[in-house]
Amino acid sequence: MAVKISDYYGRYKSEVVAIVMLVEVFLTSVAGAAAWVLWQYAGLDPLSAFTYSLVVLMGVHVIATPIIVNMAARPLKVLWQAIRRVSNDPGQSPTILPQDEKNGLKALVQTVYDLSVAEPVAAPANADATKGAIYQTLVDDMPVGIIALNDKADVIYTNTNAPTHPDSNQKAIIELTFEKTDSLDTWLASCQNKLRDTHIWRRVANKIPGEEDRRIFDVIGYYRKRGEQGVETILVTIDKTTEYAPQEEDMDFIALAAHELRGPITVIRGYLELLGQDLQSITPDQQQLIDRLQVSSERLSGYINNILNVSRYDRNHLKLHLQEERVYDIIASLIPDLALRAKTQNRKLTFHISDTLPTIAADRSSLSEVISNLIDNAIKYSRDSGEVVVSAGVKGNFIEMTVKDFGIGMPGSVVGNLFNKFYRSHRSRQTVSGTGLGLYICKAIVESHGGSIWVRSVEGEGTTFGFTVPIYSTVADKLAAGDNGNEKIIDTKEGWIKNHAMFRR
Amino acid sequence: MTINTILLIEDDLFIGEMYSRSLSHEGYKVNLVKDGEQGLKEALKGTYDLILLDVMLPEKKGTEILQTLRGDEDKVPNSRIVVLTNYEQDEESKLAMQSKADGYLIKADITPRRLLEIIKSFEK
Repeated sequence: MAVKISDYYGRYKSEVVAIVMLVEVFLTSVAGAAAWVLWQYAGLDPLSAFTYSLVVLMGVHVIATPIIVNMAARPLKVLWQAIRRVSNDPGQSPTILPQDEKNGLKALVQTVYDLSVAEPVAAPANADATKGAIYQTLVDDMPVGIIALNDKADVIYTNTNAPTHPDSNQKAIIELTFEKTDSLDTWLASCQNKLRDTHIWRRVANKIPGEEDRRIFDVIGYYRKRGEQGVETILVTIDKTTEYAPQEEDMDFIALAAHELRGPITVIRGYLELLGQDLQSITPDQQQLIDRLQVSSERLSGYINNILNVSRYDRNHLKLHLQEERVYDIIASLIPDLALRAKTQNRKLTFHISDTLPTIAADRSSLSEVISNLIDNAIKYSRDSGEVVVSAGVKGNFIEMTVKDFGIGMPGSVVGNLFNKFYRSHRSRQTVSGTGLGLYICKAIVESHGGSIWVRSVEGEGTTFGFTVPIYSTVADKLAAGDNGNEKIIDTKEGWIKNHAMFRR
Repeated sequence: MTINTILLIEDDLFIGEMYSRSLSHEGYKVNLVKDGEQGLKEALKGTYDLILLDVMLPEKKGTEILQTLRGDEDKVPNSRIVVLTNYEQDEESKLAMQSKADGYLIKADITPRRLLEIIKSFEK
């Protein structure tokens, strides 16, 4: 039978005292017996026998004491975790509800959780209707949007400024285009084991670029399990269109310009290649000039691709065609260009990629851009004659690739923002050219593959970027069930061509 | 399949001559045509092993040419057709695939050397 909360402490104290006394009596008896044996049978004199057994007893105590304390302090630890959880203390551990019913700890912890969501003191009974109406007007007309959801994530209240629209059944639908990997649904799913939580999204638009009446919001989500009046989640939307839209408009213009730049860059890259082939005998100095032109045109081409991909991604037009690829082959096709980039900047580029790694499910063109971007960054931010090491290995169901430099590194305040759109640290703005879009699109591409991207950096020592992509065999079934009717099409870095080994007429 | 003759339909002089020069250098017989109408006429002769087709063309768009060549019936069964574009769009790529083009390539991403590699892959 379960113990009542009021009886818990007395009972627990008796239990601990009994256990400690038993252990003490047992250990002391064993030590006494040992001394007697040493005196009687080992031929030691009584003092030596007593001294030996005392030493053994002390040793056993040193081992037994932390075990006993740990056991005795366990309820304190469980309560401590529960209280941290309900008070939303940062770095809190997951909710723990002990299963040992008979000593009453579970009931105690459950009480902590229940109290944290208990009804507050009721409003005075004389709070009149006028006051209620004022509250209603205040909330309805607030300059921020307010959306309340019930425990099934259905919208049960919206104020005037909330970005919602009614569906055919007059049910309110939230108009916010969250990123797939950081959506409202994923956050709500993560709240299932919590009592309270808060989450902030930045730059969430109600519509994709190009659509009319597009607004961009910062959104704050409050979650409270079993909240009052059936309200479990509240979303507050702050319209930041005036702050964010100019950058978006810049982006539209840049994307348009980037499209126009594709023609000339095609010509520049092509003719440079022809020129390089045509020039028979040139001096090393002249070769260096050609190399630099080539590297710069490749870099420009990379910027243009980043811009166009960001523009596509923001409009939900970034399409990936995942198919079976070898990391080794992708890297091999990039090496000539990357090696030239490293050479012209006086960096040493080293690859540790085995050709026996399992194949991956990847969009070759997009993944090539991720790898080029990361290596390009490593080259930019490493020291003169510094080394950049590219490695790949198996990590669970994924292949993990890392790009490591031994350059200037970054402080923690910078690392946290690196994958944000347009983000450039104060230092890099002053010292290195860039658009602030490369890592943003890398993250978008990697996550669209079902992988993740990370960075580790130590100031003065260097930076490692890593990302994962799924091993083909782990997702092959899913791909076969999807739109993989294009197995006879070879997606190349530059478009697609039919696989003519299969398409012989 | 061996490729000897190539019809290059491309209105941009610089790009047209760039590919033409590189392909000729490699021994291919290249005919560079700069407008859509003329290009279609030339393609319909059916004498080319490979047709490289730009999309944005004066007189007749590349996609229209493709429809005529491969729409209801394949009027050039002995030619491979590869669409070259710098304004790639999903619909365009899909159309190229539906019209049974043999390839769809982004000009900004292929250098002449890469185009040669791709053409050689047709010959395997």
